[in-house]
Amino acid sequence: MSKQEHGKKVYIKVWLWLLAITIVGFIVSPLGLPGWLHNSLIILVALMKGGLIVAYFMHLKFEKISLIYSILLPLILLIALAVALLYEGTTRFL
Amino acid sequence: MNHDAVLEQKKIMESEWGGGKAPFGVSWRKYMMWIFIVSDAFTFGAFLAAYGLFRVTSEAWPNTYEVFTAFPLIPFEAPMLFVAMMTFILICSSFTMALAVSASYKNDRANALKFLGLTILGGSIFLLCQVYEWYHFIHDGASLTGNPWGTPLFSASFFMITGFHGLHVLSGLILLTITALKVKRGFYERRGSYEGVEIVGLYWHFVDLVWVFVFTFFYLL
Repeated sequence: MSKQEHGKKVYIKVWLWLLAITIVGFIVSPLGLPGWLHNSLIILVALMKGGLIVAYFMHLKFEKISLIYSILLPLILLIALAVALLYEGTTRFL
Repeated sequence: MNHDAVLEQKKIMESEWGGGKAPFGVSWRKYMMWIFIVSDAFTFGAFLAAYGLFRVTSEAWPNTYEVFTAFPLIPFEAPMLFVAMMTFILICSSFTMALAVSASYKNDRANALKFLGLTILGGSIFLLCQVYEWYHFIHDGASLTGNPWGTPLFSASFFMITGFHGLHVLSGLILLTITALKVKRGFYERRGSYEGVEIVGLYWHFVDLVWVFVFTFFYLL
């Protein structure tokens, strides 16, 4: 456990970023952007927030590369599941 | 065993994966928490994927901006404001959790306790907000089998997803309370390692992480 990376300053910075992009995600919705742009922005904001939380708050960025891979690679299956189900839902049943 | 076999055995034992070492660079407790988090992510991922399937196969899906408009003590409608506030509270409690871990690694018991307390406070407020949200939704006529805004799958997935997440918040609060008591009694100090605080912290950040995605996919999209 490397203690020096648990800096208070880093956490405050990450926290402010999280709040900032939460507000961005929130004001995007009533703007009336085209559907695909709105959805991609919202998902991008969520992925950025998730990335910040996992990398800094959960400290994964500073772990050994083997740990990083063993956590992140299985999650690709989740995306595959979501994509497969959405594909099924939009093509076969309609 | 002949000499070569002994040497071979020694070589294996000295390698990264030979045993007696930590190939992932963390203790088994922390690694198990990470494995649990991945498996829990699969559960939530399955929920959200099923919700996506429900949504694309339904003919019409209610607009969440018209459903979640209540805010306590405010007489007019405030679409999504309450959920935004809940998100804000949970992110803040994740932040105080990170500070608690930071303080505990500096052996700063007073600050660790203070920030753990703030985390518990934030989590409790979040849970109370969820009770309010559920109460309102149910009061408006929503149940697992139907709701006034259209397809029953809408309220069914709402109750399943936010309910399952709320259960995680509740278990997190119990774990945090136990951890805070242990910090107070000097358990981790005697053991010589504050890793327990960090492991509970991992879980708490995960609960926050899940909420980010629930908030995004269920409310905002």
